[in-house]
Amino acid sequence: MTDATAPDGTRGRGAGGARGHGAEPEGLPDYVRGGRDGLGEAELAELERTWQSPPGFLAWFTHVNHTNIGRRFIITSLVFFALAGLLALAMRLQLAQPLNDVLGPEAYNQVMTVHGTAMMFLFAIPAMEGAAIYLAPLMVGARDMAFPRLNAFGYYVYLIGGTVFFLSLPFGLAPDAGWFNYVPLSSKEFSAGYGIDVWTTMITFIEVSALTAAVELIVTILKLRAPGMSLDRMPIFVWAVLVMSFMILFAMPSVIVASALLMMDRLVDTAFFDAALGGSPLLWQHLFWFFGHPEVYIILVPALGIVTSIVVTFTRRSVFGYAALVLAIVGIGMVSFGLWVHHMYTTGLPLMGRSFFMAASAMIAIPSGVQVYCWIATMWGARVRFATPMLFVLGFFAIFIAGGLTGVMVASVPFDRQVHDSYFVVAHFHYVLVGGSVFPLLAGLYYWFPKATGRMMSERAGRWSCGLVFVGFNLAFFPMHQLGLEGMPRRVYTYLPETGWTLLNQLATAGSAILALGFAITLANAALSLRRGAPAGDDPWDGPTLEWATTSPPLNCNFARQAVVQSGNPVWDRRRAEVSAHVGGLRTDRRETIVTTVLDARPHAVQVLPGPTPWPFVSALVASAAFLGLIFTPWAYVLGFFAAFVTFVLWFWPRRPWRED
Amino acid sequence: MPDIFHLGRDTSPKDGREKVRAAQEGREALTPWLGWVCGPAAWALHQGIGYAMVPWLCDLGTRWPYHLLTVVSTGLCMVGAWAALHALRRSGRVRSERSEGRLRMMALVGLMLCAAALTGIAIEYGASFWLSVCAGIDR
Repeated sequence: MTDATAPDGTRGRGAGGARGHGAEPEGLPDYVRGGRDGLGEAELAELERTWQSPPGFLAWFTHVNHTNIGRRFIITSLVFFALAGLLALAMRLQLAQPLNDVLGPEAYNQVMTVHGTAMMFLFAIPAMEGAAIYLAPLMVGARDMAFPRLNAFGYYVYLIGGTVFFLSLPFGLAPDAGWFNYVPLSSKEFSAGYGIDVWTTMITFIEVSALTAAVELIVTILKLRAPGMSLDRMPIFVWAVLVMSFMILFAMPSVIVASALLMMDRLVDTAFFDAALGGSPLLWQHLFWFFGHPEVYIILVPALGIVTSIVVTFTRRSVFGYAALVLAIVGIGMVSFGLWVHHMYTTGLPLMGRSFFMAASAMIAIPSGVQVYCWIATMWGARVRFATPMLFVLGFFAIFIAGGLTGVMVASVPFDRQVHDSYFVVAHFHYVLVGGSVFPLLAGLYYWFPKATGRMMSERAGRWSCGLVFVGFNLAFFPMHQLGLEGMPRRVYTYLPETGWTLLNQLATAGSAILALGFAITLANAALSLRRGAPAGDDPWDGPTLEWATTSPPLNCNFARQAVVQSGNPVWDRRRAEVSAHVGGLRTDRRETIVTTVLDARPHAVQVLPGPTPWPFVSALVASAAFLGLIFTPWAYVLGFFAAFVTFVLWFWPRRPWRED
Repeated sequence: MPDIFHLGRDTSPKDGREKVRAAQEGREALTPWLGWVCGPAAWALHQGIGYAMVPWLCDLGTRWPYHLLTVVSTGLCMVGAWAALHALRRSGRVRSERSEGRLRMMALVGLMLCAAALTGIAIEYGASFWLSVCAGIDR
């Protein structure tokens, strides 16, 4: 059997256009005709049927393919992003005038808390995870994630937890102690309602989803890479996802422990955070920020991978300093765990202790700088194509570097003590978070939308969106630096006219409206392009990584035959080579993917992946009910444990694929 | 002609020589990881324990536990750096194997991580010479 196919012998759907995901009608779909990658028509058709996600509303809850789950993560996170953005607009309207009455103090606190929490927990992390879940298996040339059912479980946990959290707002049960939920403000004594309980239970619950995604991504990247894709040939985005996943594993347990302890303080009268009974309110801050600061980098690190992918494609060059970029990403991941105390400089900690964290906070500028120089060197002298994804990347450079500069400023203890809890900090972290994650995400949306849908997004609308987002963002957040330096505290629902803060606040509000318009154009562009976008073909940008080697949208099985990789730019190689190598011998009548060694990606096994099943959804539903019950009674934990156990047993009921061998 | 993998379903047991070779490969594969693990671990150890021991040092009236901690952390870092350097040298010798590039990259990254960790430890340690351990502590 020969497993090599001439490059021009591969058959994509090319300009034939997009197709729906998942279900295919009976008979042979167009894209199967003639086969692909040397796989015959009949075999490819059987393979596609094997990997098909069943059609229908009820069957929707059984899907496990990573493309389905990744897409759902991204769409759901964008919905939460839009909702949290509307809350931001409400806050800016309130602050446009001194003594304004759009929102009262209680409503403002709830809106502010839900905005911050949703942006961090329901948008930024899940959006990055969604992108990783969708793209990482394609980029490493795998057929699916290592644990498809766990993947689906994670999504339902996120969906249910996020929906419940948002619904708390219209029901008047929303938390109001800020996204960091500091004690003693969030203790039962000062926050008696259900709002804080909603925060603690739902955040704990949603983080389970992040942990499941992290585990799957690590195993997928380390064990399911295409043969030949040794660690030094892995795309930088995949490295970034790997580092992000390890960071999630180390950081999330801290916030889960913190919120579980607070839950117990409020539910069964323990005193972990009650100073009067020997507890420590500072313990909350340590636990929260040990998660909270790495979280910023959990969001940023995959964004760096997105930026690198786009820079490489739009300069048509291999990345400059591959090892330096990997070092920078791993270094950022490492140092990010040594910064958390810089959020606590004003809490009365010993000076020498603070100096440790000041040093570490300044140190993170080193790996960040290394990667910026790598990108500049990659672009130096290249004929850069300034399409929309690249424009967003350029916007990222400007905004992220500005945020990084103020980051070095607030890393310094004396400066931080002056601007702590002021609008300067609000400006700084929006520059870092929006610049560092939203711009790359939008760049990634324009870049990979054709791959996921088979349609191009409108370039014209994209350029308008990019311009408006860039101008609106700077108009909204740059004045906040000055507001902070003038002493405007953060988290206030109003201010007096005599303070002189009105003009700068009005500028910020006008900027936020322009920013919202920019985002709306991109969302509308995406929605309209789904049906009306120009057909994309398999590889509209001439990308170098494996996701561009398959059809757009990808086959149900991702690749007709899994590729054998011989460099860091396999798709570019494939065009130059006379023949391209593929893996042969995998069965088409069941979900098989090749397992390779961690370091050199030598093939050493075949994994049979599970198919569609409703059990992850049922398990998530039962676990959600248990967590919701915890808001009201500790007995929900006991009942929920046993109920969830039953669903897990049914979920894990042994499959014995080897009996078919 | 590129490598082409065709998967067989051979489940025959491996002979003894293959097992020994696999074990040796496993050990060699672990060496470059030492730089990745030891550097960050040393720095985390120095920062975490150093930060936690500041009030205790103030009560104790001496800094020798902190000096000891710095020596141990630096030693751990050096172990990682040595392993990475060893792997880097070995990568120059492994010409016939595909793993040369991968080994070199991992060794380089491990070495640089250890260097970064050592810088972090040095900066933190340096500060202790002109800061009082009791500054900022209510007694």
